[in-house]
Order: sequence, then C-alpha cells, then structure tokens
Amino acid sequence: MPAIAILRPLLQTRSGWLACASLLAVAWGTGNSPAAPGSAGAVDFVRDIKPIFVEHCYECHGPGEERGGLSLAQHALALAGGDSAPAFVPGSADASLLVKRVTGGQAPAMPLDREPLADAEIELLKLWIDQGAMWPEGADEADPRHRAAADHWAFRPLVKPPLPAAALAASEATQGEPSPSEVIDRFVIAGLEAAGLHLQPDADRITLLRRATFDLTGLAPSPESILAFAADPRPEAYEELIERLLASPAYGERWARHWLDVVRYSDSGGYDTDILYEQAWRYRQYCIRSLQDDKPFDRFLEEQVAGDELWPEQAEAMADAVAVWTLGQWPNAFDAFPEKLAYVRRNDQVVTLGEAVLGLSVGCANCHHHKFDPLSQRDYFGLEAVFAGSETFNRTTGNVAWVNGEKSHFRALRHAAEPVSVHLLRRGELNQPAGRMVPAVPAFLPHGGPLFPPGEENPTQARTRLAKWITSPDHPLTARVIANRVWQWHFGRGIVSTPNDFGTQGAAPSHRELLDWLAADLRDRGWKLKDLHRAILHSRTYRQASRREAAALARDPENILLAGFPRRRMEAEAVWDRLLEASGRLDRRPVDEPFVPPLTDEELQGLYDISGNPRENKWKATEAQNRRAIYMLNRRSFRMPLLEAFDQPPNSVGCPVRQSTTVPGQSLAMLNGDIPVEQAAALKDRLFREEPTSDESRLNRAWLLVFARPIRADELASARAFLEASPEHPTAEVWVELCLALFNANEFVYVD
Amino acid sequence: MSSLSRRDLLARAGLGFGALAALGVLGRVGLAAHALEPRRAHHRPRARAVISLFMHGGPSQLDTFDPKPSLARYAGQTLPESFGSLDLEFTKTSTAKVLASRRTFARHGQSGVEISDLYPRLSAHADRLAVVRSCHHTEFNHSPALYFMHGGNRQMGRPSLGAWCTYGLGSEAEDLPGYVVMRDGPLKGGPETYGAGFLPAVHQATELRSAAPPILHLNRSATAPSLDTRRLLDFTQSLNRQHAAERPGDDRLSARIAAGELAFRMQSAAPEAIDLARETAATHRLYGLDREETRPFGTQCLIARRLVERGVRFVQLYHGGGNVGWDTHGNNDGQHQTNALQTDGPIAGLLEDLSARGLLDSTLVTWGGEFGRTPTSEGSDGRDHNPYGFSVWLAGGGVRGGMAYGATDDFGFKAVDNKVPIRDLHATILHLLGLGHEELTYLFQGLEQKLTGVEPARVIRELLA
Repeated sequence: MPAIAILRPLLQTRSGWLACASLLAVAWGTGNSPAAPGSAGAVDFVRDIKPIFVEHCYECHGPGEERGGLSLAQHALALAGGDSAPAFVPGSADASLLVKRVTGGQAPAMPLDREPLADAEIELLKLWIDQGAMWPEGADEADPRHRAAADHWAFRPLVKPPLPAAALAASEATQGEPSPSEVIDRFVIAGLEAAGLHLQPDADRITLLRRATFDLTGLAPSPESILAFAADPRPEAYEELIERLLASPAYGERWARHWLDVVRYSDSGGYDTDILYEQAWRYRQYCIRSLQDDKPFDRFLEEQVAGDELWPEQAEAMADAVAVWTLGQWPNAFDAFPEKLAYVRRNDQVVTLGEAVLGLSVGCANCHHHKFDPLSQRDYFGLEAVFAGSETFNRTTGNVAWVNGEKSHFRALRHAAEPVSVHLLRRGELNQPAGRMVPAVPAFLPHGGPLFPPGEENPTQARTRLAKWITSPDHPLTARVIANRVWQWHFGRGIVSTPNDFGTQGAAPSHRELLDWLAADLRDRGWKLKDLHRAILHSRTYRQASRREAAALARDPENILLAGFPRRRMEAEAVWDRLLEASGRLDRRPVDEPFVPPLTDEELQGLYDISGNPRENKWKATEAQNRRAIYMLNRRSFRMPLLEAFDQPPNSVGCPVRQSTTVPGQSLAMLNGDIPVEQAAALKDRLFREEPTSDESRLNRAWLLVFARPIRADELASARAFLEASPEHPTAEVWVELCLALFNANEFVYVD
Repeated sequence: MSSLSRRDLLARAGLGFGALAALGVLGRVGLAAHALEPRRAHHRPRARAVISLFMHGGPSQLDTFDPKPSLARYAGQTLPESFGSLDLEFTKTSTAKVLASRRTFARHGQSGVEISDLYPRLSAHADRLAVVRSCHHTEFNHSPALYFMHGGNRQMGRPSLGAWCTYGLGSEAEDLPGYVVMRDGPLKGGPETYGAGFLPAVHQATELRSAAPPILHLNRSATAPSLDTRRLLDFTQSLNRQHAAERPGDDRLSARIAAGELAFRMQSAAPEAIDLARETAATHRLYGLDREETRPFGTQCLIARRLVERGVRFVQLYHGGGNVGWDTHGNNDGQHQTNALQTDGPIAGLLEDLSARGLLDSTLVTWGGEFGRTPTSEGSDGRDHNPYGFSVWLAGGGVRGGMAYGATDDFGFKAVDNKVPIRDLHATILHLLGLGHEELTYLFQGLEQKLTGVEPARVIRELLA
C-alpha cells in the first residue's frame, strides 16, 4: 500500500484541516489517489504539506512572519532558510533541519512551546523532502508586505495629479495654466477648507523679509535692507529679494548644511580614536558649490553615487563627490579585523543611501527581512554588493598624516583591485554566509533586481548602474523624497513627516497630491531645486502670517494643514551664525579646512583622548575663526557645547529632522557661555561705534541687529528703564547685560 | 493628538514641574507636555531611582564574584579542546594558558553568597546582592562592548539605559537634571556611551563634575564682565512674556521661559547638591572620604545618594576611566587589588547609608563592567577581555538579595547555565522601575525602537524579591 495512502486517514483524525477531509476521502475511497506508481506515492505540496505548515508553523513562519529569519510561506524564502541553516535539503529528509526540529532531534524542538506534530505529519514531511520537496509554482502564500506595497502611494508611479477644484479667490487666479505657487496654494487651501480653516493673510513685510532671509541664507537682513524693504511698496520687491537671496553665497552654505545632515557628514570617525578625516571638507565644499550652482539634483545624486565612473575626465571634482561614502563611522576596534570593518562600512553606505536617497529603512533588512516593507535580506545584500566593488582607502601620503598634532586620514573611494564577494548573511552575521550576492537594487521597485545580466557583473560599473536606476524618471521615490525634504526645510515639517521613511510604516503624507505634483514638476523641469524654492516662497501658503486662530489651534494643533506659517526655532548653526552676525564679528569668507573656535577648559572637559594625547589636539583653536558654523570642525566624539545645546546632531547616522528641544543647559549656555557673553560685549561696542549719539538710536539699532525689526515705543521705554535702573553700575556692563538679554530672548531664536 | 506629535511636544519642553506650575502654563500645556515630568510607570515600580556603578575596562569575574577552584588545578595548561579557538583581543583560547586566581573566596551572610577577599566591606552586604554570574554578549572590544552594556547594541549612537529611563519615567527632581553622570576619567566609548542617541536631547545625561562648577556653563568664566544675571534674565523674560502673549497657542515659547528659570535655579541647586560640607564627619568616614584612596569614588557615591534624595532618576558612576582602569591585560591581580581598594569601602558605605535612610528599598544599585576577563593569561599575569561569561550584581529596590544566579563553565569562561543576555538584564532593570521593555518604544528609522532590540527579552523573575 502506498505510504501516502496510509498516512492520510490518520491525519484526518487529529489535524485541523477538515475542509480537505472529503476530498481525501474520495481519493482514498476510489483508490484514485494522485500518488505516482511505486512503493511510496508522491506527496503533493498543496494538498499534503502546506496545510501542515499553515496549522503548525504559520504563526511564526507564515506570510510576513519570519521568526528566526525563516518563512515557510514562499518557496524561495523557505528554501533560503532561516538564521540557522536552510530549512530543508531537497532529497534528504535526514539532513534537513526542519525534520530535526519537528522530531526533537535538534533543540529547540518545533513547534516551539506547542504540541508536537503527529507522527503521520512528520512522516509526510520526510517523504515530501525525500521526494525532492517539490513546491509547485503558484503555491506561495502572498506576502502581506507585497500586497501593502502594491497599494502604497509612494511606490506607485509618479504622475502629476489633477488640481483640486478652484479654491482660489477669483482675484488670485491667473488665466490659463496656474503657476507652481498657485498649485501649492490650491492644494493647501483645499485641505484647509475641508477642515473649515483658511490661510492667514500675508505676514507684514518685515516679518517676511526676516523669514525668507533666514530660510534661504540662515542669516538676517541688515538694518539698512530692513528699512529699505519696508519702504519699498512695489510688488516686485519681494520677487527681487528672493532672487537676491538665491544668488547669495550664503544660500549654498545654508542649504548644504541641510544636505550634510542627511548624509551624516562629519570630520571624524567616532569611537575611541575618533580619527580625523583630514579632507572631509572637500565633500562639504562640493555640496556648497553644487547647491549654490543649482546643479540639477539628479546630476548631484549621480555624481555622488558614481561620479568617478561617469565623468572620469573630472577626476578631482568627482573624487570629492563620491567621498560621501567614506565619511561614515570608523569603528577602530575592528582595525585588526578587516573583514568586519569592511562589513560595518558597507552597512553604513547601504543604510545612508537607503535613507537619504530612497527614503527607505533598508538597514532593517540587514539581519532579517524588513518587517513591514517588501525589502528582503537579498535586497539589502544586493546593495552591499554594489558597494563591494569599491573600497575606502587612505590617500594620505608623505608627511601630511598629522594635522594639528593629530593623526589623521584622508579617506577616499576607489575601485577595489580585488572586489570582495558579498554573501547573504544569516542574522547578518559574517560567519554565516548563505549564498553569494550580485549587485542588485530592491526587487519590488521598477527595474529592481540584479543590475547586470547573470555572469556579466562588472564591479567598476556597479555604482553607475545604481546611479542611473536612482535617477531614472520612473523611479517612484527619488523625486518624492527630495521634494519632501525641501518642503520640510522651508516649513519645518515635511508633507511626509518621516522624511527618511517613505515605506508603509512611514507617516502618511499630509498633502499627498501636492507632494506628487511638486515632485513630478521637479523631475519634469530639470530637477532644479531653486525653481522649487521659488514656487514655495511665492506661494500665499509661505507668505502668510504665523498667527494661529483659535479654530486652527483646536482643529489642527500641530499645524499640519498650515493655517498660519509654522514658527521655527533656529538650528544650532544658525544660532552661532546669528550671534556673530549681530555682533558684527561674522567673517563671511569660506574656508576649506574646518576652523576651530577656542573653548574654555571647562568646555573642553567633555572632549577626551583615550590614548592619553593632549586632548587639545582634538580641538586645537585655528587661526581662521568666526566663520559660519558650516565650516566649523564637526567631530563625532565631541560636539561644540553651544551647538550641542541647540540640538546639533551627533551624526553617527544621518539626521532626517533636527530636534528642537528646550533644556536648561541651553539657557545656561546662552546666559553664561563665553561665546554669547563675548558677542554681547562686541555688540555693545558695535552699537556705540555705529550710533555714537544717543541711547535711543543705539537701542533701535540693537533691535534691528538682533530681532531684525525696529524697536517699538513701549520697548524703548522699558529698555531705557533697564539702562537707568542701576546708576551705580558701569554703563558698559549694563549695555552688555542688555545685549545678552536680547540674545537670550525667544524672539532671537524663533523666526515667525 | 497622535503619538508622534505628543513626542514632538514632549521633546520641546525639558522643564521641572515646578517651573511650569510657577508660570501658570500647566493648565493649558497639560501635564503631558513636559518631558521630564514624572510619568506613570507601565506597572507598579519596585524602584524609583537607579545608581549604576560601572567598572570601566572590564573587571574579572574570576577574582571577584565567580570562584573557580579548577583554575588552580589547570594553571599553566591550555584550556580543553572543547573551548575551540576563539580570537580574543590579544590572545587565542587555543594557545593561552590558564591563570589561577590569587584571591580566596568565602561564603558571606545568611545566604552564603561567595565573594572574594577583594571586597571585605562589601561582603558584609552579601545578603543584599543578587549576583548574576552568567551575563554574556558578543563584543570583545571596549567601545562596542560599552555601547552594548549601555544601549543594548554594539553600535555607537543608541540611547543609553539612563536615557531610556528618563524617557519612560521623567524625573522627580525639580531643580536638577534627571539623568546624571560622574566619571573619574575618559571612557573608551566617549560620551556617546551614556548618550541619548535618537531620543529627544532632553534625555541626555548631564555630566556632574567633581571640580567646581559641577555643571557646564553654571557660572561665567572668570574673565567675563561681571553681569547681574537675575536682572538681565528679568529683562529677557519681560520681552519673552510680551512676545508669547502676541503669539497665542505656541507652548514652546512658555516652555523656554520656564527653562530659563530652571537654569537660574540650577545655579544654586547644583552646587548645593554636591556640597558635601553639609554631611556629617561620620558620613564622610562611611564613604571613605577621609582616606586618599577611597575619596574620589566615595565622593561620587555620596553625591549619588544626595542626587537620589533630590529626585534624580538615574545616576551613572564610572570607576576606572582612562586607558587602564579595570582593563588588566597585565598585573591582573595587583590592579584588581588597587581598584577594589578604591571602590569597596565607598560601595559598602553607599549600600549601608541608603539602607539606613530607607532609600535602598526604592533605589536599585547595579555593579558591573563592559565584559569580564579570560581564565587564561595574557603575558605572564594579565587577563584578556571576555564577553562570553561575566558577573554583574544588583541590589536594593525590588531585588532578591543573597543569591547567585546562573553559572559559567568550570573555567569561568562562558556562561552555561541560566545564561543572561544583556537584553534580559536591561529588561529586568526596566521592570524594576515599572517599565515594560516591550512597551518602552520610540519610532526611529522606520522601527519602534526598544532598548532590548528585536530578539525577545525576558525579565529575570528569579532576581525579583
């Protein structure tokens, strides 16, 4: 009697798949079983095996579940196996882990903490494996992640959606095609109207001037330009202002700083040696230049991913661009373990690329398939294989290995003479390789999968293929991700508030169609970020006052719908820049090598050099000083205390959104730190120098320099009272107190 | 309000309860609007504060809390082949020779917990200690191991245990930060070791320095002009109040007004907290402040008690900062004697003092390093790093004292019985504080991040009173 036929009725008595019972009974009764002739009938996966998986295994190893890395829902996943080893070896039940586990031959016995399989079920499994573990096509259980991804907005093709029905007042609407700014307003107004809210009227001109100047340059308008702009009623004055700001070198400095956050830029490697990346500044300068020149964003990405391969004739500039992949953390503890070190570095590269460019938390798929998005370990290691063709090396030659008394490295990227082969690693552990990987991009995205036809892999072209895939016009993510970032950097919050995660677990977009429209427009009109800035800055949405009405506070407390411009606290670097700008000490000249401001001994206590070298080596004040903060030394092991107090990120990984915390340490730094106190004294000197005649003119100028607006009469009175309250106090000190009081005011750090 | 926005709001306001109440903003902002305000635990807490005694460099379990008589028998021989050939930092398990401990162990207290003669004073508290002899992780280099012990992961940039605690529970200290660090030298993992990682920066540790001023920027530099801080702050606040009044509905503005006031109060509260002149001579002696060798760590321990009395949630102390500390690659025994001499009295004094003041029941005290050391020798008299089996102990708030849990193999090399991965240790500490390790999450990089990571963690019930 065929073994399969013996087993089936046994199963009916105890298994839960009674639905199949009648079918089996028929097969049994007629003897017309599908079993092949021979001593043992053929086991049918769908009929005999899958129900066992469903009943006993799916809770932990079913669709979208991968306890221990193992899924039994799909053929490929089951065959790849889990963390320990492949689940089964077709043709050999005895060698198969699955059998060892369900028989208790190897701990832990499966199913974990549940009743074991019936002997008959185990026999069926063994038989199935011995017969070759046939798994017909179409028997896979759909992965819920793929189902969710198919419906997920951010993975769908990027097309311009239709505009909402005219929400603009007739007087606002132009004839014909609406301008991008009008498109923004239409979508925003549509969202507001649905909630019974509305835009605020335009902010007053002086508020708008400070807002736009801060937003595009990170600085404030000069007292003269404030007065001139306030007195210029021409409608074109605002347009001219924006063009002037976009053309200012300060624009590149401000917006490069945003991008450097995303790509976790730092001048050092972190961990205990925190080794200095001597020429990391080349990448910083490359970013400033690129943004200043409004280099098309697709080109900007291509240069960073594969500039050395694509434009070898511009070797030097492209070396600066691809250096981004060399600037991650350097866990020096692994120096003696090159394989481990290279793995950690590739991980940094894949994670950074995924989050910064694709808006996908690819790193989640390093050790296990992504829990929510259709990213498998194959996708993760496929990207690692792209980077495996290149290596980071130390370009430092001769006697320049020491900078300011500190050992340093000039990290650069080149093609590896012998590319390492990347394997899929179970649990992400180096000692558990499970199959060699070829360069590939996430399979679920358009044109996903291997970047080369089988056997034609070329490690010196892998990054080129990756770059072209990223910037291909039908890539659903690239344009959406950067358009969202630009929006976030203007409004403080992205349309997607999780800018590094556009996956199914990312935040739902507040204005999905608007983002799609802006992203498609950016892509279709040549990827010019400055065009996107113009569209945003000319919109009524951007120009509105920051006032919040009671209805808006009640219905939209987080101001997601934008009934009122979102007030923002300046970032750490802007606080530094503005302190020095107001005091007149800001040196606007750029520098290549990062500058290092002097710190007090007390401040330097937070910096240490474990190797016992003088710690000043790691923070040695340089000659160039008082430059914009983007040029300041940015170490992973030590943040300049004033900047740290204002939430400068540590940059161990990319920072998608700056925090804006209010901690007492921040107040202490501004009240007592040397830098604010020195700048307050310098501002006092400047006021007396520039306005020698009267307290009134000095006070007005102080308000213009610090708050970027003229002083009001009531403020003038209270400031005078402050100056005169303690006549025994030296005038100079009272003025320093006043200046420091202004720097500590909320109005200095919050921009309406 | 969504959890994300709530978190945003929490992140913005790192203020003492009193500060907000004083400004009358509580009514509108609501209690939840302030990140360090004491928050309800997930379940009934057994401890409300933690003092973590961290022995930087990696103390030897074999010379302290995990006696292995077989070391003497096998001294000078290699380990049995079953140990395989593992690369450690400087040695290989296959070639290194067993190094016997020169310490003698004895059973102490009613419970008979075994402690070596390095700790004569701590031994008197044996019935208070739950010694875990089976801790293990995978990182045999200092900085990844330090990150592992603090943040549950070998990577730099994860939030440390103390930051997770204030994130979960807030702080009861009105005029002091909720998470305080004191150290006697640099750490091999740098300040990121005790960082807040991706948690809001309000959960960053504040480093308390033993030299004045105790907190960064608490005073101005000596070279600064003499300014009347109260006067200038009053002027700032008058501008701020008008500015805020013109901008209704923006809680951040009132939060920052309150932060300025808390900063001002900290200028007197922080020096008061570390002013040990207010303690009696007997207390000074109890902590060893009267002796050269115990004064530094005794000072840290006494300040820790004062901070806990003032509502600080998590006090992280480090002994052995710098390049050697407990990292005894050479002269293992001599260096352990020195280190133990510096810490035994202060730790015993701390336990005794907390107990006498009725604080030990609500204060969890933990002891350990980033890993243990090898049973084999490095050079003639050193021990290499060993993350595969090492000891820590817990005492106080909710801990079942007088026990040893778990075991290493006969050589004290690898944990074999009741193995305790670090995530279980962290889950247990959170549990004692009333926090569920599965519930304490923060959304970052597309994942609800947990201190205990993705692998299932277990609260070690056996350690609970």
